[in-house]
Amino acid sequence: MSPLSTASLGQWVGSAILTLGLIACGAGTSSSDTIEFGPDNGVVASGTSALAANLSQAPWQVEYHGVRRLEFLTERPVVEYREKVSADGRGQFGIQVIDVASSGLDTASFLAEQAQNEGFNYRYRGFRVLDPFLFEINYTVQLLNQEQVVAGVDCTRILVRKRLGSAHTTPNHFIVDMEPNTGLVLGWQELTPSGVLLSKMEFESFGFGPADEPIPMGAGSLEETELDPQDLAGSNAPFAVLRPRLLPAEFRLSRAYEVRDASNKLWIRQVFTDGEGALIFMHKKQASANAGDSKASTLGILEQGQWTVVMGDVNGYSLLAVGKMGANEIEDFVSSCF
Amino acid sequence: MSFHDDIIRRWLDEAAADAAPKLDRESIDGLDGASDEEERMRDRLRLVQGLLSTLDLKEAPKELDALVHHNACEALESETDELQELELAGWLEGLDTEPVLEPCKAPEFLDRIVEQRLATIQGTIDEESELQAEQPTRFRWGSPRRMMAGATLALVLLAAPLFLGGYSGADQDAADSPVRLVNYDSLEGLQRAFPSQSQVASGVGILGAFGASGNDSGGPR
Repeated sequence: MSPLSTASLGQWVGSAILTLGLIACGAGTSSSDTIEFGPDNGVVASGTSALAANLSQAPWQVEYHGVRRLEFLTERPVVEYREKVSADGRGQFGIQVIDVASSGLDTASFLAEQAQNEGFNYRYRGFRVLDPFLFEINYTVQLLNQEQVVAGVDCTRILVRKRLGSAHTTPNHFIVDMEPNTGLVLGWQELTPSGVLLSKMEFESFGFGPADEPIPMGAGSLEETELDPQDLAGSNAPFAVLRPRLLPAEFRLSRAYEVRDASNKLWIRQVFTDGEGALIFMHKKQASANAGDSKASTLGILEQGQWTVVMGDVNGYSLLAVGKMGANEIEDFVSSCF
Repeated sequence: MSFHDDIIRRWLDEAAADAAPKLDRESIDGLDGASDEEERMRDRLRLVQGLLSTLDLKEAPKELDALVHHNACEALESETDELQELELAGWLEGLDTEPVLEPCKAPEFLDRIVEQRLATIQGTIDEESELQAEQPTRFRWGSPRRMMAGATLALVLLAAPLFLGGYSGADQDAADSPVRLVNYDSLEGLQRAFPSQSQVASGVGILGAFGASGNDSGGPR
């Protein structure tokens, strides 16, 4: 082989490797917001257990503050806004929207909604590891060989993908920028299997410790008591706790709570997860449910974007289920309680 | 008839009705031009047929993993047969070190329990198949592919009462009744129809994804 042809081959291989690396790292996305993933580019992370534990615990155990920008591109109109966030490292947190960039949004009502849903937004919105054990089982974490600086903090960029196998459809991916020492996520992007960007979050400023101007950290409005999810029979509920048996693929019961509503009626709240996604199920026994009650059971369903909520009265129970999944899956899930 | 029996009947009936004409029209090995969806449906049907004929959980679709594992965990608490209890415990211990939730690792006796239940269900279905064939389908629960997968799941699900030695789920004092499904276009409509659920959902702030006004201003997780 001549020196010329050797050089050409080397250039071609080098170019191919560089191209694959760039694709794997998500480069070249500026015009189309599309990222293609090559197979097994980058290095699969070792020590995933510690990583999963850090990702899960950091939002609750790290004291931090900052301003972050969020974009939800599938909503109409597209939702784009900035918010201040802080956490005290002892389980309390606060979020405060500071400006809305979207046009076509009713800003006043949007701000009011966000203020009233801080808990949901902090716990479940975007990328979040809810159960490290299940996350480790059901997701792969791939280190992308790309240093990333977010809000002045050196971050490790990882690609999080759900393991294929049981799902009917290929799930979305996350590209996550995390502060490597704590596991705190300073940025994430959710993408479809074909690489279309759906939503993203990125800190614009960030600091450890308390904020100079603290955000009020509220308390949940309803009294909640956490239960042992392995011992739901030991709850104070004066009824048999429903146990859904047809769970979405790879989902398990992760947390459970007793909740007293404004009328002091006891509900059971169960949180199912595959490690990252959440499916929340609440139910109580209806006071009027008697033997032989033949009242028709009804399930109301609303599917909006990637989320579905089901509310209903079935066989003497009032129930509701909310999850980032299709209506069919939640219907099956609810039906399997009976 | 339990709520589950009702569901499984519909699934099996509709899956058979929807899948059979396609399989009659084209050979099961596929023809040129068959769509990916049809091919996947055939694959799924093969899996279901394989499960029904051999009752080998190893061949079951992956969707069974979670259910088998879930049932095994519960059975461990209620199983009275010492040998079976040891088998289950060993299997579950294995999952701790090798967390691959595959039915093929389940104890063999689970196959026998499923077989008994399937035989009962199949016998009942055979008896009523003529009657069912005369009745138009009034309910759609999803695509044939999904229904077949669902049917497989539900069949194993029905083994749970045998497995557990008695169903301990919902109260049985309230009579099972047909479930009516209503699709809503707006959260407001859904909330009006179910005020009790809406109130508690707002209280714990779990409707945030729907732009709902909650009352959850933070607090611990």
